[in-house]
Amino acid sequence: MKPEGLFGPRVLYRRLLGLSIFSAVVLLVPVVFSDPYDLELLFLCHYYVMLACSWDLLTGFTGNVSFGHAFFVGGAGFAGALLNLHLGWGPWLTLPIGGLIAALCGLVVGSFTLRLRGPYFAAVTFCFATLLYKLIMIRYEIFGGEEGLSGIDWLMETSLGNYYFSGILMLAAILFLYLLSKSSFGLILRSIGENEVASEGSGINTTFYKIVAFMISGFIAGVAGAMYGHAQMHVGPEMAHDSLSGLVIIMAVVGGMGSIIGPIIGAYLLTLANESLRFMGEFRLLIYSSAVVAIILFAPKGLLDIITRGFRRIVGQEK
Amino acid sequence: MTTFIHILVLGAIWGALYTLIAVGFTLIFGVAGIINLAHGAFYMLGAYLAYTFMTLLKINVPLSALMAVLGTAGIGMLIDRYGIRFMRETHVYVLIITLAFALFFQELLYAVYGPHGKAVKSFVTGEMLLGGVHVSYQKILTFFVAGIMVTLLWLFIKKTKTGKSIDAVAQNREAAVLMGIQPERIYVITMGISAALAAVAGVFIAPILEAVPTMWAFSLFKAFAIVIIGGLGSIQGAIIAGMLLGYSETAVSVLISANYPDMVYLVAIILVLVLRPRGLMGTRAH
Amino acid sequence: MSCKKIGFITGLGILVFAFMVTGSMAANRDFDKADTIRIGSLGPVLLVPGIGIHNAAKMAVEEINAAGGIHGKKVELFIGDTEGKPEKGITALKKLVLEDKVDVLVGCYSSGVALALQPYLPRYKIVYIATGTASIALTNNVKKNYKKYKYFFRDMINSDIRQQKWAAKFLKEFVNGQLGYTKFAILAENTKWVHKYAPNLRKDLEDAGLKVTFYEMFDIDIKDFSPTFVKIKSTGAQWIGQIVSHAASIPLVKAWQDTKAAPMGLCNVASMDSKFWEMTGGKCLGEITYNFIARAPLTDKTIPMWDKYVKKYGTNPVYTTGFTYDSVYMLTEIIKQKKSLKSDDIINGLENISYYGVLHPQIGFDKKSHDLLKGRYVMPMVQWQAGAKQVVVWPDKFKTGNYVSPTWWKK
Repeated sequence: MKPEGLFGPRVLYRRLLGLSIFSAVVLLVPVVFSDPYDLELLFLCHYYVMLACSWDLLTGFTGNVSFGHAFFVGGAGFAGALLNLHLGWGPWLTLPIGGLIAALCGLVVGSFTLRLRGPYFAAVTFCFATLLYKLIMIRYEIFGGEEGLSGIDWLMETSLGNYYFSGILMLAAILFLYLLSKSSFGLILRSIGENEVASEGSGINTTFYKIVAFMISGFIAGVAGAMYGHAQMHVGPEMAHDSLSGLVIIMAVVGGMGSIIGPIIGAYLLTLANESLRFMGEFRLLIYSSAVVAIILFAPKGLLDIITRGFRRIVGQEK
Repeated sequence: MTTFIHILVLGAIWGALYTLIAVGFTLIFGVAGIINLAHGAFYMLGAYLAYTFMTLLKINVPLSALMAVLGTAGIGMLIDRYGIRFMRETHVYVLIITLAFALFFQELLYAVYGPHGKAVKSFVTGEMLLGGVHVSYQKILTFFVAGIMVTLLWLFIKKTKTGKSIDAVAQNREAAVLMGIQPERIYVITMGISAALAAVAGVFIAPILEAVPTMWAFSLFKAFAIVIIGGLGSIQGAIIAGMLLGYSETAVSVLISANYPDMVYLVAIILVLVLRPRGLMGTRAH
Repeated sequence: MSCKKIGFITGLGILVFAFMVTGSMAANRDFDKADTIRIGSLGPVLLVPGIGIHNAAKMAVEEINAAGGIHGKKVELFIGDTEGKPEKGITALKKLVLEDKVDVLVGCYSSGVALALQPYLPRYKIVYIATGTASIALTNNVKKNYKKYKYFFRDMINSDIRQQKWAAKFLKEFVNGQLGYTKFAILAENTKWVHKYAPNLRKDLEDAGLKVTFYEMFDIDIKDFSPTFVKIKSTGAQWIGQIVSHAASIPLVKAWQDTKAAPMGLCNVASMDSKFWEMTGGKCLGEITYNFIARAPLTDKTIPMWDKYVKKYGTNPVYTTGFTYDSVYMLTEIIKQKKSLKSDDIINGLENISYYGVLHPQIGFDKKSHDLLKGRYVMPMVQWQAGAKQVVVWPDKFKTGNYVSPTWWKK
């Protein structure tokens, strides 16, 4: 996606309007869908939106595919759970601390992968997450192994509470990431993605920007991970597993990466689709994965691209 | 001393298995510059197709193996032609569409064959004593198959016309185009060969390990690791790294404990890339 | 402009939030008003233990309905796919309870999933009998915090103490006592359920004056077991006690058969399945594992149930099948007796039950921990013998054949 045309004040304004409509919908949904099951499901959507959007800041802009987002989620999830179980700290402390720990993880991975690109970058990010997964399994006396850790305090007492808590966090994360992506920070990340050597040549401290992007991405994913642990009252090794990293990537790509908005669509769509196909029994995952392949094949730039084009066609304008 | 012989024998076999898994993966990267995350799925399809032919259609083992390899090559070429071609230059897209295909094949096999593992028949039965270790003939056969496949691949690339075109595209695409080579045709052929190599690995290794719908992940991770360590696109690198990984995992298993061999490749990737960011034999910068 | 709007909407949202935060919670239904009794069955629909759970529950429910249901009310079964993952387990449980409005729950494979589900039971006040999870942490939770976790019951044999003691008894009484072997190797996967089991087993053997020549935990992701078996062989072990559930059982058994290290018999969960022979291409010949059900007269009901199951599904019952089948019957029995769907009534009923099931003539639960009562279970040791036969070789009471030593093994 080219940056031109997206920076015009009108477009920015229109998108922000879109975001505020979205926020209104998020906040008003429980009026219509008050069934706790629906709310719990939407909580999961919020969680995945936070993961997919934060992944997008890292990958969608610089073009380096991170296969290790689970490193942040699992790291913060387990850190939060351990703090809660051993020191009794509540979500108000464990969420920010989990986020900070994940940001620290981002600093480490970021500095290891500074000079790597493409597949090398993907491999190292994958390795960090998988090492954490192995650590959880091998040091079961601390991390609970395949059983994970349970007995973590509730996030909120009701499904509705969980819904609003996660919803507001998600909206804050989206707004922050969106404004960041539209700021000079986002522009610099894009230019690093397009030509790192040239960016460096023009005096940009690419190291600084790449590491900060890692830390911000990690922070948001970490907060989401810690939040998830409290809401499910359980953390397990699958939070650090490569299948979670893969799922986040697919969500962001199905929605449309490099836009922050696209991954929101992908995360909602795939989370809800996965659940609503439950009536299909053992064919559920086959249908789900075929649909994912079809979407990626026919909308390689993501659903956001299709929606934007459709919208423009209806409105009848080119820009 | 006996321990040393054990490591020598078992490590060599396992290194050969790894090389066989990884060589196709590095080939398609070296030529087309794509990371094919469906490589493990081709390995799996090879095993499952062979199982289908030999058990359900009652065809003999070598013929079903051959059909499975050709079938997988066909699937690989179709995926390249209709799934990858139009977005080949976008690395992120290729990574993700191939990952999506891998997950799709996993679910497809769950739906068709269920969660029970399937017994792919081995070519040969029985075993022999080698340096005090019982080694099955299937493993020894696979060791030689790995060697033969790598040699054949090398001969094909160096001696045949198509092979030389593949080599030309891998070395310099623009120059190859000027020489009248159509790169898209070469990419499809290379994907077919790469998928066939993965299927050969599946057909020979599944009787030693297992055929289950999640088997693709293991082979993909190992192939990716070997190729990263050896250097992307380098076939020599894949052989060296494959043997190194086979030996070091066996050594860890024998000398320390079976709790740690799976850490070897993770640590090796990080170490190699920090010390030598293009792998041991890497040439291409990507 | 948009800032104002966002502010306005946020305010509105907080108002709605304040109104609705006192949202309703699920409550037990009234038996008289319910037209059907709803049972939820949890388990991964694509994995063997889960299929065993759902099939058993279906069969039990069909039989109960054929016999007239519960006071004329039909029993309905709802399936929840956990995929063997905690997150999916939680959403499956929520769907069963909140959308399908089930009255009781059975099933679940994997202790990780069950531990994740446990905190939701008090939230929804729903009784749940877990029929495929072995971790003692589950029933310890009930013991530690009865008020919160009283909704949880386990119809399955815990691994940490009971399976371990049974394993030690088998190795001492049968392998040492009857076969005369004295040198043992313990090969256990490195997962949490084994982490007390394996060291305690080693200690029990050593206390009995037996030798443990090899003791190792292995990573569940490894596929190459030949180095390990070669090592075992060089220690001179005469018997391998394997403790395997999550790891790659098929490559393990193939490597064992290829390397001919020593006879192997203790616990391999995948090997409990009748399809394991086909999965390994017959390489499991001679392996022994304990099972929780077998075609042996554990009670008068066992063999008829087994044969009916095989006829209906074309496959043998697996280790979760018997527990689930009995649990569905126990739950309906109590609902029938008490004419109530209130969780406290059902808990009270289960705490006092003594049920003649397919696995034991007097199934009952401990009042404090809600684990199976001590001794109210049996674990037949089953050996794979020529012709894909699963033969019970120990204990003598349920024996269906004699132990056969692998042909390649010489003492």
